[in-house]
Amino acid sequence: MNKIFTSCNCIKESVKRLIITILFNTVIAFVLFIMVIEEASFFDVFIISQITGLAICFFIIIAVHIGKKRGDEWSATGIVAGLTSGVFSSALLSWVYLFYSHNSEPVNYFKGTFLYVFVFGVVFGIPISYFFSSKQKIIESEKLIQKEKIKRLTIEKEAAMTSLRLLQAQIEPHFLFNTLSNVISLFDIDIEKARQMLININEYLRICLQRTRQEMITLAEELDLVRQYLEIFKIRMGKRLNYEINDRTRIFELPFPPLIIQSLVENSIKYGLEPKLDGGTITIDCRVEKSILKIEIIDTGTGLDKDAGKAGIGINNVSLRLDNIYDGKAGLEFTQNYPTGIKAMIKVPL
Amino acid sequence: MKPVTAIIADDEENLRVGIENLLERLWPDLKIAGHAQNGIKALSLIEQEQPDIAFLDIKMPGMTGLKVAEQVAAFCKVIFITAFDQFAVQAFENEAMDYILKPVTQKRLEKTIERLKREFNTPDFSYGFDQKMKKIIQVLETSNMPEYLNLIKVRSGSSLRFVPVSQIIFFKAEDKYTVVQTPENEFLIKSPIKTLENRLDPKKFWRVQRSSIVNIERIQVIKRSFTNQMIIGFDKIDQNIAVSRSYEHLFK
Repeated sequence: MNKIFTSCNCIKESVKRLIITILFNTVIAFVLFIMVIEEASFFDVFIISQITGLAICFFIIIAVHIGKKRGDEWSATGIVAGLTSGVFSSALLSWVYLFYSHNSEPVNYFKGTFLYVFVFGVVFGIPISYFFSSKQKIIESEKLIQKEKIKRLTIEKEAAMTSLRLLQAQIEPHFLFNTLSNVISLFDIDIEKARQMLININEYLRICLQRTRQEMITLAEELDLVRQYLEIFKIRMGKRLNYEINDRTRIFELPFPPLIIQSLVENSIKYGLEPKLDGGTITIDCRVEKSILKIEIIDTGTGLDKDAGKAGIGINNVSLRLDNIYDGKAGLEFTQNYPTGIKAMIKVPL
Repeated sequence: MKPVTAIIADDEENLRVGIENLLERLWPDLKIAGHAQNGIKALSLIEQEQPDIAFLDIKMPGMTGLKVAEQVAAFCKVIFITAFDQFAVQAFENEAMDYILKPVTQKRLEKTIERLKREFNTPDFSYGFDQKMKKIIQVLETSNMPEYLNLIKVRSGSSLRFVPVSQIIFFKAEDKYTVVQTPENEFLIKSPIKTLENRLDPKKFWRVQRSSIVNIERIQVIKRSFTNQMIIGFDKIDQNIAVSRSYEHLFK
């Protein structure tokens, strides 16, 4: 099937080239008839131009085919050889044509025809074959680039999908060990708190492992995950952390991708609040305005100082995921919160 | 004989109390001179109390445990505490340095205590800010720095914004400024292209000519112009960037 398709394409391409060559030949015939050759009839000039052009074209195609087998199409030697053979053979053919059609002295015409055909064949043949060869070269290199690009994109996409799956399945070890460490300590200090923390971890892991394998969960589920996460940190950080979650969307089972808000909250804690001596507050605000779901995540942490542009590896993953899921129609903006901290705004179409 | 003293520094209270409880049980003679909830307090506490041992969490606000150790290791035995951190664990193992891994287990702490007691009982014991410690601090301080920029700080109107680098299509030098192009906006920043090039992930951001860096994930097509020059086209915006010959090899 593929083979037929290719050969069809090949024939179409050849016909196209043949027509272009004939057109070129006709134009050349006109130019020659009007500007150079006065003593001959237009019909003769036309025929000879066609013979010359087609012969050159024919020999160059042969040269290209030979070149292809050797692995170098459109080599300079091939084109020169094709051009020369074309010019010589067409001069000969033209002479034969004139000899038979006018039935006159062969010797008179030989000198004139050969000279004319040779000179004009070379004059027009070189630029025209150069035009075709460079056009062909451009097409070939474009094809190569496209092919490379498709290959690269496929590999990249696969890698991205794999890392996405890994990312979703991953529960940050640092978080887990620090939290379990807290539970162990709490057994000696406050058994009720230890129990509460284990319930939070249990709930957090349950949502993480069950839900995040799906591309979409509901906003309520994501907020629940975030709440468990923040509760854990509230026990760990004590008075240094406050949080507030406001869901004002009033839409039942509003679909939303998992671990988006969670990643931004994680980022706020890791780079904004944990490094700050007296901690701060995280506020999450969800609302719908004009069919757009807006989620604001505000922290009063350290914000971004001169060097903190390095912080927040998760942010770019979030941005890319939103882009993929909402086909570029989602927005993710970070602005400075006053007096301190960062305000993240997610906007997705409903 | 003067009792051995120690301080505990960790930003999480539960963990400080947890370690203290364990120490009380396993080393009743040890006197805990105080707790610190951040690096700065840890440093002043050590200077004030002059303890024999400092249990220091590595990740603390204000000042990391590494920075504190750098200042005090000459007159105080430092034991680092860390949660899962492969760089740290690797560094400690390489230098045969004692450390405590969270969650702290009784067995592990017993081993550390034994070693500490033995060290304090050797007649010619001195603290000494040794090469081992120096090397570990050096290794960890460089490994804890994320290498590339994830957010670019821009000014938009009177407010500050932070643009995730994945949203950026290209950077282009113009006069004294650098244009940051996103699908919707164009921002001007002061960092020169050369500086940006070093701070962006080279797997995603390619310099394609003297004055431009492109995000390869945002490339839609690569064409050839009439003069055979490579041209990059992007989705969502109607601007092209030419690739200079010396950078064409990147795309082959």
